[in-house]
Amino acid sequence: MKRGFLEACVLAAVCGEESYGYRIVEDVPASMGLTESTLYPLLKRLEKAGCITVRTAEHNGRLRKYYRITEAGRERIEEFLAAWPSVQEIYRYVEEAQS
Amino acid sequence: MTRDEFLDRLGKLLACLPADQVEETRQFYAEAIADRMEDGMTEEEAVAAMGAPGAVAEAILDGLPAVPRAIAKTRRRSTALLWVLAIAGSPVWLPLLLAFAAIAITVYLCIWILALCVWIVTVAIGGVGVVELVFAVSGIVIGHVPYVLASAGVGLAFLGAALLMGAGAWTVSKQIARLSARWAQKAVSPFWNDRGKGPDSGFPAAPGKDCGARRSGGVRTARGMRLAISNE
Amino acid sequence: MTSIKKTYLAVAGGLVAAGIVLAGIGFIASGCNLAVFGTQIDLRDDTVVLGGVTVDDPTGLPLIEQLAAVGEVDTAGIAAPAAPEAPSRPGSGGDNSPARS
Repeated sequence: MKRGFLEACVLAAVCGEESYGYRIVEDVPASMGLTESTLYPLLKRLEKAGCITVRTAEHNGRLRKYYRITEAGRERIEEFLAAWPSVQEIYRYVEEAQS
Repeated sequence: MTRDEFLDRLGKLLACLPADQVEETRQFYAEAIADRMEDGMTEEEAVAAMGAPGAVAEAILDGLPAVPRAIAKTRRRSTALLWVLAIAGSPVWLPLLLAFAAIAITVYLCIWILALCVWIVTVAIGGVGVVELVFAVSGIVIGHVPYVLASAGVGLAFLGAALLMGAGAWTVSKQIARLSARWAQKAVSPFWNDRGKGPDSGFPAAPGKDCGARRSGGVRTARGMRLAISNE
Repeated sequence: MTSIKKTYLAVAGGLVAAGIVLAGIGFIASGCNLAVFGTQIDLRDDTVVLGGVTVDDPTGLPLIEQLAAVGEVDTAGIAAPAAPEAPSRPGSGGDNSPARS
């Protein structure tokens, strides 16, 4: 489930303007515990699924990859947001069982 | 550990992967380290922030589908071991692989034969309708009015039924196309995996998606959750 | 549902309804005789019966004329192949088989 959350966070991080690896790690809420080793496979997967596009540009004399969301990626975010009521429902169930 | 040491170690740990994939991974981490150093970290700190090379390599290999992952992990221990296992185990895995392929192809064919059957029945009913209409013309030639009416009626009814069945067959075919796509995805998943695509990708989205999300919240929610959990 | 699909379904449904009504009228007009739905082309003696009425000369009737012209397929010369002869059991002496006794 956390993977789904991470995916949505990464998509959200590139949905405004294009972003790069380190900035995505910095932008995503720290509570997600996103690191480069988690981000790299995730970006590859999102790229393969057509949710993000990648372009390489020069930055300070070296190459840097920039990621940008696609229409499919936006749909993925919408799907994630639509799942929220059921997540809340599960949360409430667990909370009630606890009390 | 310096940046070059980290990247070399990572390259060695991922040697079981294709060279271009290893190079791409090294570039990604080189960029990440450079970005952190640009942000004010020392080289040592930036490399430490990446985590241990072993854990990094493990995370990358975990993203592979089951079969290539097993091969890569065995190859990481020793290439000779991989070959020994592949040859010694061939009496087991080769027939299993063939059986798997045979079953996968058979199920795929069965799914499409089902669609074909529906179309054949539809065309047959339409054909009966046309023949009945031709008989009605014969009825006109011999001047047998009740026969003309009955034949034309049966002909039209069969043609109409064929059109209705055609619509049904079209819907069934579309469903079957989805089913077969899902089956194909499932069949190849142990070898080649598009995990990022999620369970519902590749299929046309329902019209009126935005309002649909609100109207049929249950279904969409279930889909979204499945997506989240299946990626876990 | 798109308007094309609606029209398609309406046409198909209309055809079925019109067909049933026409067939019903034909059935009543024939005096509620079920034979009105029958079409019989017998190639053995070239009898053509359309809705209970025998047609002497099928010339000019589409499809039926062609079918009648096919003529009878002569199957007299084709005989079923003879069953192969059962091989004789070796040792025709003592027959111990309980099934055969």
